[in-house]
Amino acid sequence: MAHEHEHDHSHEPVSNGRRRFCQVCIGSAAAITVGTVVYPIVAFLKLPMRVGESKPVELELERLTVGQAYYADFQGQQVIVVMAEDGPRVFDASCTHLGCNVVWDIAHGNFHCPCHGAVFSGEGKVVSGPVSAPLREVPFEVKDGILIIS
Amino acid sequence: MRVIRYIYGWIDERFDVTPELEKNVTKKWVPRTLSWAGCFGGLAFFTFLVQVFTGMLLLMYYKPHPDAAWDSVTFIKSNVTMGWLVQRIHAVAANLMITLVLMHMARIAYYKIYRTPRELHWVSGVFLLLLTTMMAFTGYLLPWTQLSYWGAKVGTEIPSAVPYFGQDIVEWVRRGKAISGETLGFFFSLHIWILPAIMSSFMGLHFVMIRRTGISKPL
Repeated sequence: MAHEHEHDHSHEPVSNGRRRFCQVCIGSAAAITVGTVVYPIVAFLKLPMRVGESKPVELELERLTVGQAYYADFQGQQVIVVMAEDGPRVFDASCTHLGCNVVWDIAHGNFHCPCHGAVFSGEGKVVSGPVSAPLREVPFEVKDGILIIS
Repeated sequence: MRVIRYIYGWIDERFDVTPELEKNVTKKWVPRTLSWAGCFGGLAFFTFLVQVFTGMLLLMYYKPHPDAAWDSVTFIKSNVTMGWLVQRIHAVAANLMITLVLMHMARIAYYKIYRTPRELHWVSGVFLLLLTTMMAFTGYLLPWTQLSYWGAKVGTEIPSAVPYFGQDIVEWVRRGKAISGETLGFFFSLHIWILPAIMSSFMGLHFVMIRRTGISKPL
């Protein structure tokens, strides 16, 4: 397009410098305009601040029975507290295969995954199934008989 | 630029876009005598698009329930990045849209552009004015503030002036005797789906008509 135009006026001297200057000015103005529209939209799509999301989980140890498991919600994630003979253990409930929540089998003292049949021992180690990694342990502390996950 | 030109060329080769673009956009000249006031209709349409896109964003967090509506709007304004801006644009552009629609209509009325062959342009335009005000009215209730609650109460009281059926219309619009969660749900569905869908079809008609008859050329 631009070249055809120049041919029409080939007898006149054409200053490309001015045209280039105008193109840069219009181009930058357009870029700034697009930016002021796109930036707020992209920013809006970011994850928002959530208040009160990182509440610690507190459980009274006295109320936990040996051999039983308790599910708790920690930062939107399910965690399992298992009371063993030697004290509590806390695991992330997501199966290390594809992330389904594992179920505590109280009769066998191990975890079953309902999705693809993985089995983990009471210590979270792999027993059988399509998994290679043990259940993720969640750090916790015990203070004045209260188990705290934070 | 070269990449864009290549992609455009590829599409153009197959769909022959250029002649259509030239006919409808790049080589379609505005009448020389047309003033800037001829832009009001297009600007009103632009504010409609702004409302559609900011509305889509707000819909990500808005909850149409009496217990949650106010909190969700507060959440958008305080916790979502740029949420305050998007919410404010949606509220301000609503006022702007009504202003622009009225300015558009004032010009059409003043220059008597509604005359043959453009009578139906005017009729469809009046429907669009009504739909625009209904959009504003239904949207006003959604933040579920004191102002919006009493605004909806007063606004829905208006049809009670209709003889015989007045009170029935009021109850039908409120989905009950008083403004409640049912009203909120009804206004929400009107605001985000029903009215925009009707509006889009009227706009389509409006634009096809102006394409068919051409824009009114002042002397």
